[in-house]
Amino acid sequence: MDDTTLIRRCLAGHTEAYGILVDRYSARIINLAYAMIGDRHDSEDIAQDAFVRAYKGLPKFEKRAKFSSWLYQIALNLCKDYLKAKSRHARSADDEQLAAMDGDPKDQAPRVVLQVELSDKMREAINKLPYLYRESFVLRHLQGLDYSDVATITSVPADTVRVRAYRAREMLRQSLAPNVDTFWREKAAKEKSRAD
Amino acid sequence: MKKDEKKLIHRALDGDITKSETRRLKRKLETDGHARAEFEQLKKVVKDTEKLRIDVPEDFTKKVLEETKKLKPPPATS
Repeated sequence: MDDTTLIRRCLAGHTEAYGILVDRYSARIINLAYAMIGDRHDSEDIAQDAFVRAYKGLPKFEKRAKFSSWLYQIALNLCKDYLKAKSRHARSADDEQLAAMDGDPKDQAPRVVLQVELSDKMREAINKLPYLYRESFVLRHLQGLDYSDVATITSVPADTVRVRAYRAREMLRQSLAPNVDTFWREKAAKEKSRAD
Repeated sequence: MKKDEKKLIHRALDGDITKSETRRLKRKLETDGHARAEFEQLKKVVKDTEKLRIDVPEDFTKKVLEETKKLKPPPATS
């Protein structure tokens, strides 16, 4: 059943139809929020809030627009509000990063440690991107949207989001390059020792 | 690396280059180790973004529907 039909059913009082929409978009919205704010628990709260707000706003939803684009806009606005509040309260590093430091890395296989470290560095690097670059990068590469959809969601021309994604990729490449190099060097060394 | 070559690399990452530009980029990457390294690093940045995905909690939809049940059903507009 397509989104428009499900929305029509919700508006006709079949509220269970909304569950299908939540199932359809929950992974995208949680991952969008997680990439934008970097806190797993809070990203789930933001996603939940986004779905509740969208439900409340269904009667006002313009059927010409895509439901997913509208939902992305709601979620991104919540992420912006969250980050503004966070910067006001000057919170320190998120709990998950601290939790990741628990436990003895020696207990884990070297390859796993390297992989975890790389993902962690990636998340850290994304969180350091200027907000507008992060937004375009995440929508384009994590959500897999094309530039015209990113432009609709962010209300800026497609060429602007293209440039923002370009700059985000360059900034990420520069901040992650040492890790990438280390990763490949260690991988090559392992393969060599295996061949020997 | 020239600015237009850098732009070409980024357009290739977006899958937005013509056949002749693909040939031009291929030639560049074959002859310029620095450009090749940058291209590989950028591809890896994009690929590693996938690793940031998290799973949806099992009870997520249930929690949302519990919240929406507390609200009045959205009134029909048509």
